[in-house]
Amino acid sequence: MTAVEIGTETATAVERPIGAAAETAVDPVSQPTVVTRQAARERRERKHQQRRVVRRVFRPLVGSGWNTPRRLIVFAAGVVAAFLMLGGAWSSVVDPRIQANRELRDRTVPLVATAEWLTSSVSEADSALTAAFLSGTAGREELQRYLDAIDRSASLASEAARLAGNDTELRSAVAEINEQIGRFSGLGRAATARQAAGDPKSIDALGEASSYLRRRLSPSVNAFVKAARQRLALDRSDALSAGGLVPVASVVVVLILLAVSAYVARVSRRILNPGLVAAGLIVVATTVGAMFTFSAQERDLNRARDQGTEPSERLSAARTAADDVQYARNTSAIAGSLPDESTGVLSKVIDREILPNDELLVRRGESRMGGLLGTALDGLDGAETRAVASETVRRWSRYVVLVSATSRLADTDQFTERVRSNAVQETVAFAGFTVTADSLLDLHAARAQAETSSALDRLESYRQFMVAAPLIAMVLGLWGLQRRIGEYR
Amino acid sequence: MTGSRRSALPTGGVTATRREMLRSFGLAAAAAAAAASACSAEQVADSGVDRLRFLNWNDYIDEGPDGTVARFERSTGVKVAYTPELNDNVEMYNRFAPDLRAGKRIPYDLLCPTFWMAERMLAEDLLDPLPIAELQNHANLDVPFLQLPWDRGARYQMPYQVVVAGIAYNEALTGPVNSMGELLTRSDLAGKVSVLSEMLDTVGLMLLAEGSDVTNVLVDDAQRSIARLRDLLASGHVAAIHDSEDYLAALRDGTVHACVAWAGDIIQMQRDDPSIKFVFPTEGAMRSFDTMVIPKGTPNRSAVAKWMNYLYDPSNAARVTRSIQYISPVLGVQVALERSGADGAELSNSPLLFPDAATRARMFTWGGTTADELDALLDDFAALQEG
Repeated sequence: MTAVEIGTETATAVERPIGAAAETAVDPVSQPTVVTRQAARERRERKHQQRRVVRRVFRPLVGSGWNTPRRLIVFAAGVVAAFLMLGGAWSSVVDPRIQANRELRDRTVPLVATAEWLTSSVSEADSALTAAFLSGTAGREELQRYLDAIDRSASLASEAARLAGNDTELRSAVAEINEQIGRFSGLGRAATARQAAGDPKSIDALGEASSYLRRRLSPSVNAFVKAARQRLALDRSDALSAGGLVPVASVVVVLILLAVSAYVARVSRRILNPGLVAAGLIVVATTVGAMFTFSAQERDLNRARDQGTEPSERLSAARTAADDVQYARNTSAIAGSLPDESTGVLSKVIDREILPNDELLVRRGESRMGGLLGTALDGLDGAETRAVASETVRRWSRYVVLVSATSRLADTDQFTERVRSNAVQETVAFAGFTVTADSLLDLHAARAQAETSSALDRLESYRQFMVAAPLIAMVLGLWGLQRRIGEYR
Repeated sequence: MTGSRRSALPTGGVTATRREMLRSFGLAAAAAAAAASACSAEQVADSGVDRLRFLNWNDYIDEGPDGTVARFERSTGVKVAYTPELNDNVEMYNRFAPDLRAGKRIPYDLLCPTFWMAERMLAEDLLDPLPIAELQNHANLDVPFLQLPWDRGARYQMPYQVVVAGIAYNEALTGPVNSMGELLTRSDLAGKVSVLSEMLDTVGLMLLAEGSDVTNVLVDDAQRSIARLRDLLASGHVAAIHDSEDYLAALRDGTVHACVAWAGDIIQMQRDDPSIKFVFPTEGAMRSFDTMVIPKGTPNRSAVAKWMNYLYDPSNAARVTRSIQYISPVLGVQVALERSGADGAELSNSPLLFPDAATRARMFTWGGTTADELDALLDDFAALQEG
């Protein structure tokens, strides 16, 4: 090495003239080399300086460095955050489901049932009014039934308004129905009062009441039923809102736990950390349980639909067809009960116009009704429901037999009296059908309510697990980590 | 048999008011309850699904080896302990209500109170619902009984027989009496008139005569009718308030020429004395009914269902109607009687058993009063009898 240095010096001396050595030593060619080295040295020193500053800043945090216990503490904080996130995610799925299910149980299912009872009650009022009218002044029990049906309708409308809550559309529909019930009630009372006073024009008043019911009140009630059913469908959909976030959040947390477990296994040379493993198992088990609960809730709500609200809807459709038949009979009966002096002219009109149309309507109604009733009563679950359904069919058949008997008598001379007498019997038989159909509606409503309650109970019970499980798992996870941290202290 | 089904609530000769009666019944009930509980424990212990214990009014079914009970037993294999010892609605209520409220079983699976007592028991939650799933013949129940406001759809009671109160007169002693107005004002009937001790029927008929609505009774109206009856008793126009046995005896021996009466009794009486006539008053008749109810906690529901189904078969119901001749609440009885021939066919044409639509439209059932209001009216009516 010394020889090389001597040799280098020698070579330099040989290349430079002795006399000009001082001047040529600072020539423009050699000057930049010195500056570059100094600059590089300064840059290196600045970098060292910056590193020292960074170390000084982070030294209080990491102490002597980023060691294992400190990493474990950070992981523990991560585990806490993960479980908080998990609880929040689960809650964001379960709580709205519970809320929607509660809404179904407390508001929407009863609302639909109330709407259907309202339909039935209004129809009964119509039928009882006609029977009261046809029974003459002595028909006070029929009149009382009419008044009872009106009272019941008004009371059901109030209940519907309460159940409608803040839904402005439903509330305004109910308000309209309430007003129309009042108007219908007034018309009916006026008709019976005029009849009691022997006013021959009382028939017009009854016709006006009946017509008002058909044109205004019934369509309003039907529209309300439809709106209530739509709301039921929406609430049901909310109650079964997607639960996919539950397993997704669980998978994220389980992955975090696996990562932490892997690190702990590496540093502790133990494959399993009991706390972390238990925490993971709890998360998995709770998630599986939640999915089963959601599935069971859906099954309950499906049963509420299949054995409660849907048969009820089908039965209501059958009832509407039955009401059409009965309305046709009422029209015929009212026409037949016109005063004697009118019947000379009108009986021909009845024979030629009303009766054929009436019979046609009845036949169409019966045919439609038969199909609808069959569908409505098909596949019902439960012995009591099937028994009441069977009774409903038998009472409808009895009514149809009476209708047929009246039709056979329609050509006789005593047309008016026969129509009057048979119409009273028909209205009574129809009332029998109505009441048993109502019993069936009651059973459907009770079934829908019971299944919806069962679904809610499931969810609410399981929610306790879903609140407790992340907390327990978090504690177990922290316990597992704390043991490792403790080994380093 | 005649007339003994009805032992009216405060009967003639009872000197206590109804509330006093209730109190005394309370004491009696305590003693009876002790006896009954021992009895019920025994009876309930050996009860099974093939055994039915039915408490009914006296003489209110066809009895004997070929009677309804015997035929039912042979047909179904269910043993029936038939007890015709129901004498009074209130007495029955006071005897069983405390146990039922306490959740204890009583020694009967089936009771047959009058409708207003059934309504009260239902309101107090002392009844079990009917086993509808096993009652195929529920469909044969006549429609008006489905429309009762206190039991719509008849889910808690099955009517047993319908009782109609109207006017009976002896054709041999007086001319036709067609209205309550005539009964209570005609001078030729003064001192020869009696009314029934069943308040709901007597006062109900008087309310109808005054144009009141008995399906929705106003207490003031009812009290006015009771006051009017007091005046009629004081003036001597109405000779007596008779119970179910006495009024028939008085009608038979001529002491009374015309009276408030029950149709079923008069139909039976007409077999022996055709001069006794029954009319539905022009103002309207009172209709009530006794009804089968299941006390809470009854173990033998299946036997009860079989019994009800049996009774609601029109041919079986027709047999009961032919025997006791009250109006049946079962649809199809008229046709079944017609088909049975002989006296059954004759009965099927009876306007008293099968009133036409116009007459049915003039039959009314008491309603609209609360239990307290009814108690008060019964007290006032009982006071008349004391006087």
